[in-house]
Order: sequence, then C-alpha cells, then structure tokens
Amino acid sequence: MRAVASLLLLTPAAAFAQSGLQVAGTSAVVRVRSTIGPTREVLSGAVFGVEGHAAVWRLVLNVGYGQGSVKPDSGAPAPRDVIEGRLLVGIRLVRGLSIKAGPHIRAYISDWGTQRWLFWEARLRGERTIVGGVRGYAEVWRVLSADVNVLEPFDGGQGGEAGMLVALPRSPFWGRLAYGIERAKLGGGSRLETVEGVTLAIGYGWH
Amino acid sequence: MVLLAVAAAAAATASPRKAAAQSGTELLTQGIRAYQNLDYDVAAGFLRRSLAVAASQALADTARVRALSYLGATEVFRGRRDSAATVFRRLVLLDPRYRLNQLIFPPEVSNAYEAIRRITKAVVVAVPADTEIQLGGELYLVRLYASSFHDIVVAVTRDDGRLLRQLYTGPIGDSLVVRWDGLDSAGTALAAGRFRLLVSSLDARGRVLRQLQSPFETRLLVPDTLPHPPPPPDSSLLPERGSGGPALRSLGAGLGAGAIVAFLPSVMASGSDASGARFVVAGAVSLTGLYGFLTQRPGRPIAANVVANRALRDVWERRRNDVLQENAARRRNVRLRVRTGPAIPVESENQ
Repeated sequence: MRAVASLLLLTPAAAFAQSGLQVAGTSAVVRVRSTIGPTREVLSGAVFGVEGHAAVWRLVLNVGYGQGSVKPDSGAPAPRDVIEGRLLVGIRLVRGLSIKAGPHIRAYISDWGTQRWLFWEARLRGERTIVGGVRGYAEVWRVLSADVNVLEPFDGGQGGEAGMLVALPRSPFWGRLAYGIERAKLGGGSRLETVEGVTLAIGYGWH
Repeated sequence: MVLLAVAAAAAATASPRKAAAQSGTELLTQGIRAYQNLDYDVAAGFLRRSLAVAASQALADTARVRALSYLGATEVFRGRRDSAATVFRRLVLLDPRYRLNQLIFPPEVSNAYEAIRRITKAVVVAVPADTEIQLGGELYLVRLYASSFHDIVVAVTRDDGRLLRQLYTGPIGDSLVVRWDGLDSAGTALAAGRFRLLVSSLDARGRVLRQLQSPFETRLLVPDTLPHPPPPPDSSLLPERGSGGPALRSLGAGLGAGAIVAFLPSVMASGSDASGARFVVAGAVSLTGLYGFLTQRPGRPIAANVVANRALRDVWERRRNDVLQENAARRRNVRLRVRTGPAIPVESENQ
C-alpha cells in the first residue's frame, strides 16, 4: 500500500490525464453468505483496497486488490480473512459501454485453512450521465469457468454492481458509491455462495 | 491734322477688306498710338473700330476696358462731352470697379470719368465657378463690387424667375459680401436644378435701374449611408430555457440506476436474503437523478445561455449604434455643389 501511495504521489497529474489512468482507494462493507444444504452461514465485515483503471484508445484495463476480514453475524462459523483481486482487460464498444474479461480471485483464510476461488469472468459495463459530473453505471458479469478448492463441483456464477461516480468540478478527484452482489452455485445447487457489499471509493484521475 | 484724319478714314474706307482683316488688338494698338500722337480723330476711328470687331477677333474684356478708356479720353479732348459720357458709362457698366490711371490720363479726363461713375449705378458679381458647400455648416460667398454707393437687392430665383429667397436688401458702397447657406426661404436645400442669382441696382426711390443675373446649377451630394447590421440570427442564439430532454434523461438515468441497484439481488441472486444497504445506494442514485431533473426542469432559465445570448445581442447593439452614429454624421455632411455661369446683365434703362 505504501508503495502504491508513493507511486501515486510521484506520478505527475499530466500522466494521469494523458493515459486515462485512474487510481482509487476503496472500502467496502461486505456480507458473505454460504448455504450448504440446510446449513447457512452469514459473515460480514469490511474490506479495504485499491483499484486502478487505465484506458488507451479503446482498450481498458481494470485491476483491483482488497483485503479485510469478516466475522459471523451469528452461529458457529469462524472468522475469516478475505483477500480479493482481479485483472480485467476489455474494449470500449461505444461511448459508455464496454466489455471486459479476466480472472477474479478470492481467498478466505481461517484457522481451518484457505479456501481459494478463481473465477474467469466476462463483464458488460454501461455508464450514463445523470447530471453534471455524476454518472450512473451498472456492470454485470457471468463466470465462464472457475477453479475452487471445495468439495462441490462448480456449476456457475454471476454477479452485478451498480451505483454512481461523482466527479468533482474542475478537479481530478472523484468518488464512487456502489452496491454489488454475486453468487456462485456449486454441487447442483446444494451449495450457494453469495457475496454482497456496498463500496465507497475515493479516486484520482481525470475521467 | 484734320486732313490727316480724313485721309486715314478715307484710306480705311477705301480698303474695307484690309480693315476687316485687322484684329481688334491691332486696331486698339493703332488707336492708342494715334491718341499718344494727339491725333484724336484718327484715334477715335481706330478705337471705335476695335470695339466693333466681333467674333474671334473681338477684344477681350481687359482690352475692351482699355479701348473704352482711351476712347472716352479721346472724346473729352475732341470736346464731345456727350460721347465721352456715353463711352465712360459703357466702361462703368463693363467694370464698375475700374478706375482710370491718373499717370496716363490727365485730371480733366479722370474727373469726367469719375463724374459718370458716380451717377452710374452698377454692380459686378464675383462667385466661384464651381464649388461645394456643406449644408448647415458652410456658406456660399457672393462678392459684389459696385461702381458707386447705391441700394441693391440680391435674390435667388428659379430659372423661370420665381423668387426663392431674398439674400440681401440694402446699400452697397465699394464692395459687399453676401453669404448664402444654400437654402430657400422655407429652409429647404435647393436640390438639383437651374437657378439664378439676381442682383438689382436701385435708384434713390427704390426703382430698379439695372439687373444682373448669374445663372447657376446645383446638385445635392448626399453621402451613402451604411446598412444596418442584421440582428443575430436565431440559429446563433442558444436556448435560454431548458427543454424537457435533459431533465428527463437525468431523471431516467438516476431512477434507472437506482432500480438496477434495488433489483440487482433479485436478478443475480434470487432467493438470497440481500441486505437493505442496497436501498441506501439506490436512494442516493435516484435522488441524484431527481436533483438533475429539478435543476434542468423544462422552462427553467439557463443562466449561461442567457449571458452568452446577451453578450451576442450587446455586440450587435453596439455595432448598430456605431452605424447609426456614422450615418447621422454622414447625413449632416450633405454638400451642395454650385456651378455658376457667366453673369448676364438684364437691361432696364430707367436711369
């Protein structure tokens, strides 16, 4: 994190403007819900991270990293640390509409071991100006394949995120408020993993 | 002497072709030479013939004045006072300003001329042949020179004689300058046309003794005015009141994004017990759309466009005022061109 902050301070603003480079610090309140047969576990907590976005011509690149911990709302499940990362590459189809694809990993680390989820996702994102520098956006994705170290075989997954981006007038700073939810189905529906969260991000870089 | 004069006259009569072939200038020279030789009869013959020469051989006005001077003096010395008076009167009428040179002519002649000049009331007009005056700013100068003190009337008439404006009524001594502003008695500029400047010399009882008319043509020179700049076309003006489009788009985008947030769990994770936090996000996005609708609602004045349009109109207004001022200045600068012909005496021999 410190290295990223140093890099941000040393990078001239003009470089951000010319390359369409944006970076942001994120904080998310997440809720993880696992339904395995009759058993149901709900954990919630906060995840903090950074994310970056670059756009060159029509190509777009999204990277993100976050880590935090979730604790059970009730019942027996043990607290877990959450580490999450993604790398998405895509193209802008038209103004305000782009498609992306890439890996999305998530790991739950607890005393019982580490649960690794690797999703290969395809995403569709749309944006539209609401008023002034405020834009609404929605992004939906579908899991194309997955590699999960749990007992149940992976059947499929999908997710979505929507919210708004607020760009301050004549300033490179911007903010994002979003709600996202994703679900993975395993073992013919015997196991459902649902992660939802509200994300607040503060970013730097011209849109 | 008498024999010589008779012989010269006989010689002239005997060879009329030769005499006719002589120019007025040559006859004048011979007449003056004869005068200087005290051969007054011969001088009178040559001088009268020099004045009688017509057409291209005729004397110019200056030479004619000289011929009349010598002829008048000759008649004085010949003892023909009546003839001298007639000649001197012709001289005064020809050039009222003329004075005999006392180095050439003795007092006897000068006194006879001055006596005639005092009783002969004549005026000569001197005006520029072709000039322009600015109406309302400049004056047309009519310079008058009189033979002797008397009353005159100066007027502008139409070509047919109808009076347009009386410029001066009163006495004239040696000279007088009458100023005319180019207008008639009603204050209207004399537009293109032919007119006359009529100068009437009056006797002591106010009767017209003699009139001199100077025909002239006028032409109004009105400068072109600039066309008014056209007002800015509607296509160049920005809409000053918001239409419904942007407002509805904002509202649609906000409510749409809010609805997506609210229904995202139902679509992506049906059956899940999604948290109510999403409604906070959905509400925030929807309120933003509502804010956008309200700030861009139909009919709402668009301040930036109002300012931009006002600047555009102000520029046009300034340019229009500049043109109005320039045109007003040009209209004030209307000039009257006056082209004058030679003065023609209108004889009314009442003296």
